[in-house]
Amino acid sequence: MKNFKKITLDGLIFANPTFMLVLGTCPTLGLISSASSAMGMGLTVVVILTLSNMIISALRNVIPNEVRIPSYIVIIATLVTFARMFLEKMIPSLYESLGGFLALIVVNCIILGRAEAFANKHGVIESAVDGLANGLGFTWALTAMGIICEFLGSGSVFGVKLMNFQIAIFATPAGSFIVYGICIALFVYIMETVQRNLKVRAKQLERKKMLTPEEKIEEAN
Amino acid sequence: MKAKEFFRSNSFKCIAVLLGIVLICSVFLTVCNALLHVSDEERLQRAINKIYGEEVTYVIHEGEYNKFDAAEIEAAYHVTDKNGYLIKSVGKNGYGGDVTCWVSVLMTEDKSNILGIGKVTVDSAPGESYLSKLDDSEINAFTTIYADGITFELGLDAFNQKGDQYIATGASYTMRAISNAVNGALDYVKANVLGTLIIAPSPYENWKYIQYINDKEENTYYTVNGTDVEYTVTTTNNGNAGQFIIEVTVNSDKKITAYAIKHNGSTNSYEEKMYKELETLMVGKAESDILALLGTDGNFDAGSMDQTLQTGATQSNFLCLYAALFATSNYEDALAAKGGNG
Repeated sequence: MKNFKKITLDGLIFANPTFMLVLGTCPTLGLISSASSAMGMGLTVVVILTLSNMIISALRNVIPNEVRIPSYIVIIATLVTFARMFLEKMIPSLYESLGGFLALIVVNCIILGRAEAFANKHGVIESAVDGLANGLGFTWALTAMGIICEFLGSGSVFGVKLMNFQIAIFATPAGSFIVYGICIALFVYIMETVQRNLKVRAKQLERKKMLTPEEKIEEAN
Repeated sequence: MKAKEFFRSNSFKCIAVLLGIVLICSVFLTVCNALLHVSDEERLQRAINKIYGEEVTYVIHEGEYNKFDAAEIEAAYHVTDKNGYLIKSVGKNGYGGDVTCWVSVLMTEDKSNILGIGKVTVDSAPGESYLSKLDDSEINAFTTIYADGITFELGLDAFNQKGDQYIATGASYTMRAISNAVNGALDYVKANVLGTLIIAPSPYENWKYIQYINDKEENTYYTVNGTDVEYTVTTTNNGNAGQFIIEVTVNSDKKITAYAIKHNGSTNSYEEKMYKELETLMVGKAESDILALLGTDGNFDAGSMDQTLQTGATQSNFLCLYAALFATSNYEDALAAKGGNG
């Protein structure tokens, strides 16, 4: 259970694929000018990443080491093609909004990266949790930046007009790049601050444990 | 290696596993394709829902489908209870491919004229990653433009007027292709319903360098004045560049004596520089000089541009050079047609 918690927190926050590992940059820059497109892309990646992790994990003892990368690519490409067919049939508006980036999920570093780094070394359930956590980490990061870019670029959020202003550059990948850079800087700063505080707290606790009863009373006073 | 050893080897295992995965994936996708395929009928129903928002009565309209410059018409329907036509039109020159649109053309009650564009929706746009950046109001800017009486005779006038706005979306190529699809739909109705657009064979069919020339007689024409041939050349679009109209005079040495851009197809910021550089550069040039500018492959690479033309509007330069090439290389053909056709 503790392991699942660590996997989940890593995917969502501590090893967030977008902010900490800077993976999946191409769809990030291409789609975050609209919050709904960003969220749609994120959720599609969640499904594909979870399924690919599960399949690759299940086949990890069958696939020889020498052909593991081509095998992973075939599996991921199949899942992406299925996702394209499904979205075109069932959710055509999302299919249209994702455009060419949907097909590019095949070469998304997060998916191949998790297959190589995690799924081929762990069990099916752990891999599914890892896929879900990393996918959701990617989704919240994209959605958060999508909200910022859409608001600055067109004064709306999820297509709802909030203010009558626009800074045109934020509707383009150039603006997305600026927002992405600032978000990475902020996220890394927050994470470092939190980790520093946690270390200090841990040291304090450790020091307290090492004190003699007399020293503890003295410190309390 | 013996056969038995091969079948026990790791190489065989690799091949077998890879083939097995490919086979299973193929079967899976075949089944999915059968279940999830979007039929033409379904696409039509989706377009009807988007455009009219309700069920409509329609009949298939038969006409000349693929004879328009800007677009190819895939299907046309006469929507009887809405007094108009619904046309599936493939606009050319999009980013990474063509853009298929559904265009609703509204007619006057007696069907003697086009009332305007009802609505435009995009059916598919392979390779168009920025389609989501164009919202419904931008795609349907045509409705207002047409209602204001601006026709699409120059194809991209509507685009050029709103160029800056569309470029800000990052989807300028897509918008161009959508504009072409709308023009194609209008041409279809003009040709097959109103009969006002007559599709005539090109008078320049056997002339050289016509790939970037609008070869309709009313757009590209010439007169012969003594030994000089005076052309008015309308180009096609090229990537980001719209149509140019250029007046070129060629003398008996087959050299350009006058070159003037009468309609600029480039974005406004390049206009002044283009006029200045190109109009000066072209005078005195013969076919071989222009070919040298274009380079051996005729593609006008960046190297040529740096040395001679530094307008920054590469795609527009390309069209202007092809107009000059058309004029100089076809001098004798023009002269042979006594007095020209203009």
